[in-house]
Amino acid sequence: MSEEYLLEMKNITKVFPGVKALDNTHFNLKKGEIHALMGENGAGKSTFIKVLTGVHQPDGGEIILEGKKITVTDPLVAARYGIAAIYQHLAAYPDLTVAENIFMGHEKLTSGIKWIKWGETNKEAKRLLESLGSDISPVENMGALSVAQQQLVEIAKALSQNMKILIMDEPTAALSRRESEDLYEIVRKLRDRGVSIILISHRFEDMNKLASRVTVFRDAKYIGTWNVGEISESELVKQMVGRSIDQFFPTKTAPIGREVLRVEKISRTGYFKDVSFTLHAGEILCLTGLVGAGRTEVVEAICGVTALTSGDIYIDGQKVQINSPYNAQELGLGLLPEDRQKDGLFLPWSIRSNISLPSLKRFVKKGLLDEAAEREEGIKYKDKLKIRAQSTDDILSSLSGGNQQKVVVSKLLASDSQILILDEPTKGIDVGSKAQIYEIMCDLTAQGYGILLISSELPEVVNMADRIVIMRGGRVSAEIRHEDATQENVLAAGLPN
Amino acid sequence: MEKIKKFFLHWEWILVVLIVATFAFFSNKLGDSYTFVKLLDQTRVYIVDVGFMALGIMLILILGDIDISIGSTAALSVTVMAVAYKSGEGLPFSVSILLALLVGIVCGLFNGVLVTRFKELFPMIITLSTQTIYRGIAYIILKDQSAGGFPTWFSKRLGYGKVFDVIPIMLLCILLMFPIFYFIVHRTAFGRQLFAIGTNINAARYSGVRTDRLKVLIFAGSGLLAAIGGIFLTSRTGSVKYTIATGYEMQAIAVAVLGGASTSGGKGSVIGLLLSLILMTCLKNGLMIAYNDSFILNLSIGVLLIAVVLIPNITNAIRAREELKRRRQASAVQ
Repeated sequence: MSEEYLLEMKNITKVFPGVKALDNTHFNLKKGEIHALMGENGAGKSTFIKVLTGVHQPDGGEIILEGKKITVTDPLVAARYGIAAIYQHLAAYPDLTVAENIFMGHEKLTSGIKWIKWGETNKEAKRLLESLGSDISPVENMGALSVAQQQLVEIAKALSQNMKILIMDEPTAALSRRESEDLYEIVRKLRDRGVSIILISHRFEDMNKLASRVTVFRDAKYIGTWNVGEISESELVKQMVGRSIDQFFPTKTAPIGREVLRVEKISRTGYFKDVSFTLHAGEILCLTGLVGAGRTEVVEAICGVTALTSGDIYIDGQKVQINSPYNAQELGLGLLPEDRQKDGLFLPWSIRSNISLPSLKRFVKKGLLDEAAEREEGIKYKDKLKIRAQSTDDILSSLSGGNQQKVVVSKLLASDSQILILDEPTKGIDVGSKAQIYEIMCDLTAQGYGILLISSELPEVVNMADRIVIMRGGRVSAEIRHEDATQENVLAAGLPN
Repeated sequence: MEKIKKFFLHWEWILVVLIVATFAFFSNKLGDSYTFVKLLDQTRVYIVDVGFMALGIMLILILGDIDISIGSTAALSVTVMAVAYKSGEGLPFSVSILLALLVGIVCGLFNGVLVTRFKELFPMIITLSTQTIYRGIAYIILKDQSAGGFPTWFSKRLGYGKVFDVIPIMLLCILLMFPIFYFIVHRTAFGRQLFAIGTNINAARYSGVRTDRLKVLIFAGSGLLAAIGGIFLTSRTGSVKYTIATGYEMQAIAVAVLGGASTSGGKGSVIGLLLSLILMTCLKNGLMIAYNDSFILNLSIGVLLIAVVLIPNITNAIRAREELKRRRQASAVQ
């Protein structure tokens, strides 16, 4: 048995104070295999990877590499064994060059005084990048590259150290469809060279296109391993969530009402041009297209984060001028920003003070903040959105990604906005929370909210939206009604000609 | 029991302990020359003018910014006041004071506008420049002269007057500020928004907080407080030179940080600030009497500041260990 596998991890257990993060989990990897590791947020995938890379020490179990039992005391030891990880939030040095990033920690040095051999460094970096089919210049600054390119550099870095096992954590989360396709190609190339890859992803597409086997963790426990293709997606979801989600996408029944938001030929030089659309009460309008097509820029301009160069915005038929997010909020526009950690949350703050911030005025009594009223409001949303926490005084950084997202949504709802702009509301959250967010969206439309949804996930786009506006290169390329929408025609309308 | 333990791990309590320890140490060592009543008298030197500036600095630190021009702002304000009053031959004194306050606001406003307009520049660099500019203007106005001749009520009653022969009038003036600031900072929506800006300015902006406007307002307020501090300082010194209040910005920052504010923003406590001012008074006065050497005094403040940076780390470690213990017990019960 052990002959067959490059890596075997058996009975891995890791206990943190108060929680069992891993409970007797198993995983194995064949040489030249891509093996997907899936599970909800908090299922223990990250901890598992950190045990393998030596960030955490397991409290039980063994790691067997090429038939020999090994102990990984820290990431440097892992690297010596040929194990490298590319994390979701890339740990690159943005102000150093590509070549410097690739050889960080194992620079090419002269003997004696140990100068860096720049010529050789750059030449070798170029060779590595070219072998991955990329023409990134080795002397380019890392910070000037796109996320996809940075990922490529990280892969090159792993190659430069002759890695046997590469762990990729949500590699396509920040990539456009086109970039994802390119990445798939590179990952396959790596596999063909004999590199074994552990792929962690929430996207079924990643798994289907790349992996040959899939292992599922749930609640820190090992659930099972299957060959990809021998298990259906719905069955996988069931294994991940622990129950079957009958209706992943709820049926939306809300009637479409009056017009609440209309933008006419809005433009921002260099980002988007002549974008027009209309949103009605009770409607979910989806704005989609490739990453970089200008969707986020459009909603940021509508919400006053950036300025429009031309065009008009009408709310409830009235022409309005929006200069700042404060303005937008006064007019009943609420934005759920794409990057919730950076733009949406106060991580050291409690749940209730996060929720109340945009609507503080409502909690003021005789000039002072009424904490009791604030707590009451917090509890209301905690129950309504099923935020998993002990109390509304819990600190945000102690919550999982899905629950943090629910807090951001609560914040938006508490601010009494009639028009909700949700930028990638389900990005990076697990299947169970996703289904809940979809349900909340449907409830909201039933209450008469108008929702402008920005999303790259085609199933979400096609199933949730009443109408879909597709952007391409900063312009609207098509508008498709729910009835006519398929993943194929939405994708086609977004691809460059 | 747990609650009580947690309560006493608050930074404010550590300050209280330090105050008691310092007072006990020096009163034991120095005897009659270091008593409560004598300390009260010394608060005029160590609490009042620095205190006003520290209040402003604390607000700015909560925002995650810094302002090192307030010493110069104070100097320029009182310079204008002295020159306008011209020993009684110029404008009425009340108008001169109003002018000084106005200069303080304008200086702060200028800082605030620069900080919000040029986000790529650090507030440290901006206010380092205005620090030299403001004091430079004060020098141009006064040259090496000193200006004074203020009315008696100002330099005698306000500067040295006491209520019941014990409590300095100026001490009462600043003590009055603390409850007002406590409510503004910790209990109003306005205060909450200040903390929001310092914690995550992007999220604050997206949440509809008018970040730039608030920043400019607070910088202007800090300028005003610097001017007030300068005016009280002048009432004690009786005259103004362009070098007045040199280095006060650093003292104010030290006091604010000792009081629990963080240079990385989002943290600050009005009660902590008051306690840290009291601690400074006990310490500085004791050192001054014991060694009569400002060099030793400054050196000790330096040591204290490093300790200030370390102590929160240590208390955090203790708190984390307590938390761990609590969780372990909780999981054992389950």
